[in-house]
Amino acid sequence: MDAAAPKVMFLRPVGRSGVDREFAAALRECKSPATEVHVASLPPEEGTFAHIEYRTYEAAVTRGIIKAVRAASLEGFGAFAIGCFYDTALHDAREISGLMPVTAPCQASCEIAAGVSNRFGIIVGRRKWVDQMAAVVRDNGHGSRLAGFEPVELGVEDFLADRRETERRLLAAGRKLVEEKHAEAIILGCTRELGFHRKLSSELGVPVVDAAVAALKRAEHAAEIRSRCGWLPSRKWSCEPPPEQEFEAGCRNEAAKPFGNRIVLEAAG
Amino acid sequence: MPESPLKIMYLNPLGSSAYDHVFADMAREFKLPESEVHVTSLPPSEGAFPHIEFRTYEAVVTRGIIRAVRAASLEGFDALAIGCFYDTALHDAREISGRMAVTAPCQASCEIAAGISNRFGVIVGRRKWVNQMSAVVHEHGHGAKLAAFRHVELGVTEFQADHAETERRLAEAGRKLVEEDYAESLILGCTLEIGFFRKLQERLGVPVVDPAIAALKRAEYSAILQRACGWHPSRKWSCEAPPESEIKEFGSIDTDEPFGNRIVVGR
Repeated sequence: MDAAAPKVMFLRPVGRSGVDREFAAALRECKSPATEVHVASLPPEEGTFAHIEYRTYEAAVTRGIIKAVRAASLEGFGAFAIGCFYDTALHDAREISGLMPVTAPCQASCEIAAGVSNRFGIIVGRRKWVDQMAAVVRDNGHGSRLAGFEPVELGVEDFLADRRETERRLLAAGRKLVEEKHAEAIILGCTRELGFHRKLSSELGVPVVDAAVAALKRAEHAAEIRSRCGWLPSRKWSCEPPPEQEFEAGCRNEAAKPFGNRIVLEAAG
Repeated sequence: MPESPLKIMYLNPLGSSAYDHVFADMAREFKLPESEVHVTSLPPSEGAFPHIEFRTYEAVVTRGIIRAVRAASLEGFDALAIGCFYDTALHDAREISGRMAVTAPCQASCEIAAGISNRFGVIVGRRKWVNQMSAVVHEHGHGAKLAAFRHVELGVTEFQADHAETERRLAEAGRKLVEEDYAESLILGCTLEIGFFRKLQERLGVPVVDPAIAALKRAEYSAILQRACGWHPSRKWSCEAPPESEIKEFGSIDTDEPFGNRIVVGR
C-alpha cells in the first residue's frame, strides 16, 4: 500500500509544546528504524494546558484532538497515537480517522502487559486519576487482570522536575504493587513517567511498560498490518463517520491550523 | 535491519506436516523483511491428527506443544505462535517459554479486530467449536465486542478442498454476521480458512482478519517489543516457571526430538 516509509504520528494533546523535545528523544530510541515518526502538539488556541489531569481540560482539548486526527488522516499517516493515558477522545478519534488506525497509551499498554503477564498494576501520579483510568482499563477488556493502582503524589508536570525523587517514588509504588498486590507486570500510567521503565524493570524484576512508548509501538504495529494485510479501520455500523459535507460545513469557521508544533524523526536509510 | 533476524516460530500444533507448506507460504508473503520464520509441526508420536477440533485431541497434543515451546525457547527464538484458533495450551506454553513471548490466533485476531472496529463476528467451521472459542474470546477480555459466531458446516480439513465452495460459504456467513448480527469486522475462526481474507474483505466491505497471519504478526510485534523495549514475559507470581531441577528430574520435557517437520523461511 505505502511504498514510502510508514508514517506514524504521536500527538501530545495539549496546546503547549514545551516537552515535545523530551518525547521526541525518548521515542527516537524505541521507534522502528523503518518508521518516520512525527511528534506533534496542539496549537495554543486549543488551550495552553500544561497537562490534562482534569476531565474539564480533556473536554476542552477534545476538539483539537479531532482536528489533529482528521489532518493526519488527510496527510496520509499510517497510524496515530494520542499521547495521554486517559486515552482521551480515542473513540471520537477512531470515528473520524478515515483509513488511519488510532491507538492510545492505556489501550496499548494493557495489551502489552496482558501479553507478558496475567496480572498487572498501574503507577499513576495522583489518586484523582484512578477512577477514570480504571474505567478505561475495563472498557479495553482488561479489568480482570488489574492488580491495582498506586499513586505517587506527583502531578503530570512534577514527574520530570526531580528525576531522582520521581524514580524513588515510582520504585516504592512498584514494589507495593508487586509485593502487596501481586502484580506480575507494571504499567507507568502517565506518558510523562518517561525514561524510567528500564531502570524500574531491572530493580523490580518484572516487565515495566512505558505508556508513551507502548502507544508508539502499537501505532507502528497497526501501520504495519494495515499496509501488509489491508486491515484498515471498519466504517460499518457504529464505526460510520459523519458525512463529509456535514462535517466540513460544521468546521468551516474553525482555525485552519491543527498543530502547534511538530518534530519529525526520520526513517533510517 | 537488526544484525540478527527476529526469530519467530509458527507451530502447527499437530503431529502431521500436511499443511506446513501452506503456512510457510503465508509467512513468506506476510512476514517482516527482518524476520526469519520457522514453520514447524509436531512429530507423529505426539498425535498424528490432521486437525484438533476435539478437546480430546487438543489434550493429547498439549504435551507436544509444551515440548516444542520449551525447545524453541532454548533455541533462542524471540516469539512463538501456536497455530490453532482454540489458542491450545497458550497459558501452559507461556509458563515454560522463558524469555520468549508466546501468542496464538484467537488472542491476536481479537486484538486486531478490536483495534479497527467496536464489534466483531467470527466465522467458524462447525457449531461444535463455538462454546469453547467463545470462552477464549471472553477470557481475552473481548466478550463485550463479540457480535456472534456463524458456522459454515466445514471441518478443518475441508476448508482447502474446494476453494470456490469454501469462499461461497464464508461470504454467506460473513454477510449474515454483518447484516444480521451487526458485526463491523470479521475474524476467520480457523487457521485453515487461509487464503480467503482479501476476497472476503472486498466482497463484504469490512475488515476480515486471518488468524494465522494475525498470530504471525502478533509474534513479530512481541519480538520487536522485546528487542526495542526489553518487554519479556514476566516470571513473577502466576508466571513462575517450574524449577529447572525438577524439569530435569521428572523428564518427559527436554527429551527426544520435539519437532516432526520444520520449514525455514529466511529473511
